[in-house]
Amino acid sequence: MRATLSATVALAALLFFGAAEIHAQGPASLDAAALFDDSQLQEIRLVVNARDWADLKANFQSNTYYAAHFIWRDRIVKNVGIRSRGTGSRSGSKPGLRVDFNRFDGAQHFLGLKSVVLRNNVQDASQLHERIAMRLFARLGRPAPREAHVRLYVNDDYAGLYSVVEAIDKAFLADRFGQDGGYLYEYDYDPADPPYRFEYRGPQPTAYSPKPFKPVTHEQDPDARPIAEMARAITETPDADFQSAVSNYLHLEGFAAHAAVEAFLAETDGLLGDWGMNNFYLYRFQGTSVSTVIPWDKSEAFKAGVTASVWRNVDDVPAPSRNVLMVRAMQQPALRGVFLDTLLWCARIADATELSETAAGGATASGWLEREVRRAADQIREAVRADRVAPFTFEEFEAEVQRLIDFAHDRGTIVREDVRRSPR
Amino acid sequence: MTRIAPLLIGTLLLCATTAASQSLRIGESIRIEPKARVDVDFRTTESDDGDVDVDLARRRVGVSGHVTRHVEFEVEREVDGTGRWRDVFADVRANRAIQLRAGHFKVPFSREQLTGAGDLDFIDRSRAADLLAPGRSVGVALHGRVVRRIVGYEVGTFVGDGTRSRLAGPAVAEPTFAARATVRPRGGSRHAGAISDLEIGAAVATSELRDGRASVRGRLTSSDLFFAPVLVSGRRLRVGGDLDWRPGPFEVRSEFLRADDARQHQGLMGETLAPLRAQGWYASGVWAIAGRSAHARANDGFAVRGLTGLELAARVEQLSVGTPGAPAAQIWTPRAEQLSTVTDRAFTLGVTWTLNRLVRVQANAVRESVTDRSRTAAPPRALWSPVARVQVAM
Repeated sequence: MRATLSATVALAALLFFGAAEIHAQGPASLDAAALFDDSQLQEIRLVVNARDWADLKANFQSNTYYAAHFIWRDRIVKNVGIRSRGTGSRSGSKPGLRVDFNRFDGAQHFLGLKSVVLRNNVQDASQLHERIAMRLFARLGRPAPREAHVRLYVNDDYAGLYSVVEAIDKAFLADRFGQDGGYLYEYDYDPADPPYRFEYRGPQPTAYSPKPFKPVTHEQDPDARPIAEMARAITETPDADFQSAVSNYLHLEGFAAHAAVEAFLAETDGLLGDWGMNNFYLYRFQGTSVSTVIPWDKSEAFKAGVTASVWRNVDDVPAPSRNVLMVRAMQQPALRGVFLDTLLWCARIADATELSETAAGGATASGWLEREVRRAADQIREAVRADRVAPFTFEEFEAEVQRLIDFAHDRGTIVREDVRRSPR
Repeated sequence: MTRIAPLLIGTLLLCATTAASQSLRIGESIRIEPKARVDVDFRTTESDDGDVDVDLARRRVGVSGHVTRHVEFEVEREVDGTGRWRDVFADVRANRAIQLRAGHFKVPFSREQLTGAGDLDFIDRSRAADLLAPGRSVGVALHGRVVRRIVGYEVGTFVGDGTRSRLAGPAVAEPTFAARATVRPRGGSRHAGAISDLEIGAAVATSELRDGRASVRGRLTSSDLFFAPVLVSGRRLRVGGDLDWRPGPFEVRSEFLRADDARQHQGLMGETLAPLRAQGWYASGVWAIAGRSAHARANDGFAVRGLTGLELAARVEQLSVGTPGAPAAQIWTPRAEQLSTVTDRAFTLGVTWTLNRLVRVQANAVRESVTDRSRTAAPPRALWSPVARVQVAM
């Protein structure tokens, strides 16, 4: 259903009435929270030259930017830059997109945002993994990007169901940490790269950045020296001094909590991923050498299955495949406690029971995680059915949703038992 | 590269010295001359933190010659790894007034663009000639001199407009028509008073650009981009005018070039946008210190003594790109409705020392500044770029 003005009509009306230049922050009554409000299915329209859209899809492996107008509700942001994005999720039929409001006008922003990601969710038949996972991170107080599902229209054609995701950039840093002057790195994993698990690669900063730690801020002077020092501290510090030494470079409690959420979510491609580390940002606070981790791209969450051990990829793989930081951190009772306690918190949140009405008029009790899955699935179901470019059938969507419901129903119990059996 | 360059120059010098006077003659009517050129540039700019880049700017080999007095030919190819063909053409001469050239050669338009690399007064061509004039293309052209050699003409049609700004994608034919006329008031006579060695020219070229083509890229002499290309489609119309005057030991050259690119259906919604205009000019002066005849002797290979063969040169130039009438502070996108004008101004001082017909040494100092009307808050910043070139050719 096309509930709002079409892109063409909206633009024509704006031009006709002489109000063409809308490229600043909107009225104070709206902020970015409204864009990422997942209580409703959002709708975003892009106006792109037809040739550019065809080029973008044909050259989806390229990061070439194209000019576009971005329309959300009654707001039009003119002359934004869009490009194909993603690693394994790059697609020519349903391209993942990065929208940079300030690509062509450095001063332009929208609702305080410099950019957003339109995630195509092509690696997840339910299209829910990322959203549900980030919700849990946020519930645990972790600095996770906000997001909501969105019907995307390109030149009035339905381009499929996407997620609009808050970009991890200076605006995000300012919002979450009250500062944006530190050093932000995106962990940039390419399948052709050798896996990395925080081993010490020597003192040269170039061994760490721009690969695998791609600078997002301070691109001209990424100063990866503290990362090298952190890797050295992680690898070479004796056990007795480990926590105090590594804490000079990394918020260890945050790392342990992050790893616990990923473990609860049965993530296969995160900090403790099957192919080395992946899908996180590292932010070093301004004026310090201390960094923290920020989650990113949780499309592979839930994929290890409901019975996945919370120690997956920690003690069930050969030593060379273990994450050095995780292994050593878990030898510290305090950090191990944070990890296990966070797992219990995840289980408690996931299982927080509430009565809800059934379709037959009765009532049923279900946990928070299951309710989230059901609510989100109900919200996007018709948009998924209409999505002709998604690489999954509607039946596959329903099957994956059911699997998520089952996961949500049972995961808390399984994790609690796993934690109970784990020595402190 | 730094170590290879002197070796390459030395080798070529040796070869060139021994081969300079060599040409292959077959009977009375066929003559073939080998050609080779290596230019080694030494460049730095203020923005390069003082690093000197050594660059083999040109590496070319070829042959030229004639078959009877009616047919001339030229073949030249890059040996820089790209293997690009440059000139591959034959010229059939009926008489002085009617000559026919066919093959791959320079589209007749700009005086400076048509001037060979070995005859340039400066290391780099003016921004206008370098960026606005067509390059080489496959075509056929009629040319000659008429009216007692007073009027020269060249009219041609080509399969492409020869520019190097094509976006990635398959090459497509873009029919181009070009015409250039020159007037030399003294014609064939040796003495014509104050207008001796005066030549003025005018040119026009028109092309049909296919959808997806890029406009001119605004590049500084240092190769830094000051105007990123936008998407164009439809008619590209170039016009130009030039003057060349050589009073005594001096030479004065000036040229004006303009290129208007249509942007049909290039808007975000397929609408036609305001055409892009790129225009520029330059004026240069050269002083052959020991006189032009002395310089010519040095150029012909006579021994160089003192300042013989030494030239001093200066050039002022400007290149502007934008949509006419666009207000300031327009946002640049490849599909922007209007584009604020960006202007590059440059002043070049140069010295050229022709050691003999094989070797030239040039040194230039270029001061360049860019004014971008869309960024009025940022004052134009001038950059000095010293450049030196050793040119060895045979």
